Amino acid sequence: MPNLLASRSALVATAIAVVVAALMAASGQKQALVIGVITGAGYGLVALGLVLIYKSSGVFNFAQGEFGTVAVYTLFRLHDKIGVPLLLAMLIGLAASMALALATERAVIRPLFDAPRVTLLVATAGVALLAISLELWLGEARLRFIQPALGRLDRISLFGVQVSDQRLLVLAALLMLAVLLGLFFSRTNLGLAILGVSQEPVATELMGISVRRLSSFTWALTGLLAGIAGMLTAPVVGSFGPGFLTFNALIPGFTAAVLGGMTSLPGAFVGGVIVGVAQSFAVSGFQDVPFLKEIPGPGAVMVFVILVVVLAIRPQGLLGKAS
Amino acid sequence: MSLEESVDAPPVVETEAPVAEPIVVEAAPSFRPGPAGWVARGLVMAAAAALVLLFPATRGNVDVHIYTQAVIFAIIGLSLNVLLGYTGQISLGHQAFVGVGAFTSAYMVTVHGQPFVAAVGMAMVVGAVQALLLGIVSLRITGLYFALVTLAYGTMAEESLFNIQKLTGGSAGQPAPKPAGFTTDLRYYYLCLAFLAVVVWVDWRLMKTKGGRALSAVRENPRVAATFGTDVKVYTLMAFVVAGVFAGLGGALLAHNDTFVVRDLFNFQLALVFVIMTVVGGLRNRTGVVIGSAFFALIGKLFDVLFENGLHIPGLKALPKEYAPIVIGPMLLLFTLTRHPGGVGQQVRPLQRWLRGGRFSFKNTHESEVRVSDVRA
Amino acid sequence: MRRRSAHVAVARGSAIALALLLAAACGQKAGVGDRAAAPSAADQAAAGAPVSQAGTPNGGETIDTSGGSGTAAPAAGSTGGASTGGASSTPATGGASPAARSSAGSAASGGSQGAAGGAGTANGGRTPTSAGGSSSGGAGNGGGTAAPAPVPGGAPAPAGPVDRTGVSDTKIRIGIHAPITGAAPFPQNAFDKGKDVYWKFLAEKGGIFGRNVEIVFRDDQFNPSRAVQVCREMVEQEKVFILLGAAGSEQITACARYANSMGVPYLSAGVNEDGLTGLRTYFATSQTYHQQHSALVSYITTKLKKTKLAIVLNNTPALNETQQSITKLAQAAGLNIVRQSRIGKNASDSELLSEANALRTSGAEVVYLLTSPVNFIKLATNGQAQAYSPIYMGPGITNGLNIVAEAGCPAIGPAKFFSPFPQLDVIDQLDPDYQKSYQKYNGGKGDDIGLAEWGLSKVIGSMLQAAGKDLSRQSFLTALESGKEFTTNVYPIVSYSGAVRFGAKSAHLLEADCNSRSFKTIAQFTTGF
Repeated sequence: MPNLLASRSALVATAIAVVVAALMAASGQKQALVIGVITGAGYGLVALGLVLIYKSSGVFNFAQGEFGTVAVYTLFRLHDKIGVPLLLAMLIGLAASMALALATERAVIRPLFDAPRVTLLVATAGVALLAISLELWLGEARLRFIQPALGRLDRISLFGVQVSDQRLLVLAALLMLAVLLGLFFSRTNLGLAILGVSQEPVATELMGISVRRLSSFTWALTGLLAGIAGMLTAPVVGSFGPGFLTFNALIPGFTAAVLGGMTSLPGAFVGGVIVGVAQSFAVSGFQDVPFLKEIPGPGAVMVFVILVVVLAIRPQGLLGKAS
Repeated sequence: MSLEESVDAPPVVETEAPVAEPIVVEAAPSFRPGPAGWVARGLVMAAAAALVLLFPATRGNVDVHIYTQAVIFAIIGLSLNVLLGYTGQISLGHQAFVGVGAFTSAYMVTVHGQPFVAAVGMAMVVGAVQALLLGIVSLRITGLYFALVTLAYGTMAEESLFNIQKLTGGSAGQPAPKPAGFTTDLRYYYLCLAFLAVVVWVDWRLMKTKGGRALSAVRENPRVAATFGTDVKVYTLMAFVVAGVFAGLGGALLAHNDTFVVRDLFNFQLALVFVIMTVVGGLRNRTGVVIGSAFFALIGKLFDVLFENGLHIPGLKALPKEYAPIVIGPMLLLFTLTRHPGGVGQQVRPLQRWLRGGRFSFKNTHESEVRVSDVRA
Repeated sequence: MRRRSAHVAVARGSAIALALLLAAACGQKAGVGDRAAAPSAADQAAAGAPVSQAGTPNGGETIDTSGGSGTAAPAAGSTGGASTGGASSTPATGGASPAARSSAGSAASGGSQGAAGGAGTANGGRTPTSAGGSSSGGAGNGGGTAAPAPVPGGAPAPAGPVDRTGVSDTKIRIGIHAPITGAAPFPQNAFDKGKDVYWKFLAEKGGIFGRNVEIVFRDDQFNPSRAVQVCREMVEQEKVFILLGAAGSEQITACARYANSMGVPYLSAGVNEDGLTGLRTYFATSQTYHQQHSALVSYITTKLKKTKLAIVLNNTPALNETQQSITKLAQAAGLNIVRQSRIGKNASDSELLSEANALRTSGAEVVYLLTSPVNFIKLATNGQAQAYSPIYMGPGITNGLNIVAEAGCPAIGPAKFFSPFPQLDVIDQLDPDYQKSYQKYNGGKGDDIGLAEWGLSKVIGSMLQAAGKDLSRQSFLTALESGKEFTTNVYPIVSYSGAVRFGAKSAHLLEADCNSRSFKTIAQFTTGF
């Protein structure tokens, strides 16, 4: 990012992160730090998809979590129940999430294109609820437990926390995708066009680029991201049920996106990790503080506090552009 | 949407203070129904009254319990309608408002031994305070981001607030016995109906106050906002408070209806059901919202009745009826948003007009969509 | 237009007001449709007559009478009703909080409490507290007893009308509620196949004095409010004869109180004791958690020979007494309690991860666990991810089911849980009829869920038999309180009396075998080691 302001914000963000990490390590919350980074990577994956849609069409996509959950259900049904080989099942799972994303775009986003953004938010929430209800109905309400498919559970040991292959994979995927997407949007014609269409739809159309096609492509891409997020994090969590990704990761994902800046893809990555670490710190660290340990559900409280604070003080987030 | 633009198009502000329900231009302004017409209208209203008032008396306790729930949902729907319709802000965490009201009332009765009236009053106060806080937040964070904040608030309430054992009984919940004098389900149903009537009346009167009209004006034509100045902020906060009071009331009534309130009820799905029933009911249309809310509360029962009478869709029978609202709801929501933004209220409008003594006609039924605040930042 | 709308508004308003008045007046009569068998409110004060002559308590717990009727009684709803001063049970069962709540609830019902309260003390003057004692908001009515407001026709008064709801010449209808969803990863239809097997088997032998049993099965979603609702529906709409609760302390406690207020006999697997003491119509069909603790502790000290114990329970107030019980026994046995914690019923994944981490850091060798199977599996899996494999043990009902092993292995290790029913590996020696009947009526091998249903049905069947040909709710209660022993060779032997409601004598101990992904029975009908 050639923008000097952005790079300074990035520096500030990194500095904050390092300080927080040092604090946590010093206060004996090392395990929480490691755990937080890993869960944060999951949030970052979700946030990437959210930022993508927001950058391209200004919509808060509430159904992002369900795109991912659908992929997980498909993977499970194919691999565990029917015995399809893992890789193929994963590909089909990705196809499922992309299909749902495309269907949402066609049936919900396009007709409401000129409607106020909040209407679209409600509509995508409706899509999410519909997906959850279908999962409840067809897949039953119970939790399914899954074991990670990949190799070793104790690949490395950081501060006494076993970091399995699966967790490393999540982290790696996030990094890679963040970099790829960043390059995509800043270097490739297609990426620039997607950004362009949100600013100047008419001009884009005049240049011969089909706005419709771009929209579909963007949504398919976001479905892909969600599918990856879901299928990679489910084995890490160990179990899933209806609304898995929505209940676990959507609000932290939104918070991460807001924190990083709704228009910044690297911001999503940074935001995700910070939210994950803060949440983890709240869950384990609060137990030692006399007043705070009485608070039930400290993780949710921490996420809420971060969201409100960021929106009140610096709405454009760490790396976003102030409008 | 072109309809919105048509509402915004006339630059002249109406001299008469705008009322919230759109002024309907009738084809023949001097139409007056004859005696037969009045009798017909009276019969229809009597039939409706009989349905609401007398039919439940013929049913058993368990059914009446669900009807009461429908009435309470109507109150909650009206609460959300105030929020959405007056302030243009959406609350995706409304289940937290309702839950706080429910737990407050149960807490007052069980732990502090207060009588029902005091408990419900406290629930309304707490609901108001909560809403006020959120309203203050909304002055700074609007639109999409506000929706997100309400969503996060709802989740936080579900995981944190409602788990505080001393206040809510933790996962065991809190007993909330029915009030003295209304211990049977049927009597409690009539009590709730009375509350609903009061809520509808208050909502109707509020619309006519200066604040209500001001907010309507702001909503219809945002350029007018400047002439009202900071008063708009005060009116917005007041609207939040009213919504909070109604929600707290609804929650308290809900708790006592079940005689036992558990946090499991106030989950994310419920928040969406509330939003859906208000939107499907038709924003700013009280009748529509009441009908929509009641419908969603009664869906499970409706399915039961249909199944008993031979409806057969493979696999649908296996659907536990608690999931019925969240299966049907989103479909109706998407249908409403994309095709008939006025919701049920819009469909019912011809009937309403007729009942008021107008001609029965399908003309001019399109409801303009509520302009909800847009993104800031 | 203005004038017309004003007219209409006035007309509408007055119509509604009038109708409401009318309806409120009708509401008086409408009460008739309400309850099952309905002697009217007339016998309200009169029915303050003492109820439980049967089974005078031997100085221990007192049973609250459900004297007095309901519709006119302003006493609060069905749950959390009035303590009519019967709450004298020994402080050992601790747990003041639920008691405080219920007695405070009675204070809310104001002065007219006096009537019911006064009536309540007429039971032979056993109770130490005074008649008006209930209205002094929680005046140390410890022990968590509550006599919820009774309703006409439901009061199991020997002097009152005989209640034969749910019983016909050919059929007996029984209602069961269980956490099909929410507690354990049961498939939706897990209970369907096995619930009728025993009854069909019995029907071929003539049934119970010619009557066959019909089961109504409902999902309480692991949620006490929902449990009360389904119990209500089963009692008031489906008109069941008795209610059974399969598992889940809060749900059982809530339903037991409701059933008691309606005079419906209610039996459940043993869970907590607090909150269930002093309910006239409640009986536990297996050992309560507290009753299993001594065997559990002795197993740890004599067989496992471990010393570092962690105690983890569900975060519900009903289990406070359970926590105290295990803590006390463990300490007395010389175990070193390295960690105690409570986790939420719907704990988030990050909380369970954190808990697993904390357990590992504490160095616990044995983890006493009393949570839902879902939490257990998640906790164990998170522990395994941290290379932490303690021995999980606990009292329980559902933790010893094979679905837990299937979903949780290998993380759960050689987990051991007590259970009211043995596992499939020994059932053929104990009761060969099970597999034979299952094969006959369903085809295929019976699973352990069916086995549990078989055992429970067998116990209930023998109780129904003992109640005699003239079956009513009263005769059923009398049969139970008579002290008779009910032996099934599947479930433990149970016997009750007027005072004793937790009447199971032993339990089975099951151990997870992750090679076969199932549980095996390592001790049968055990009382200690």
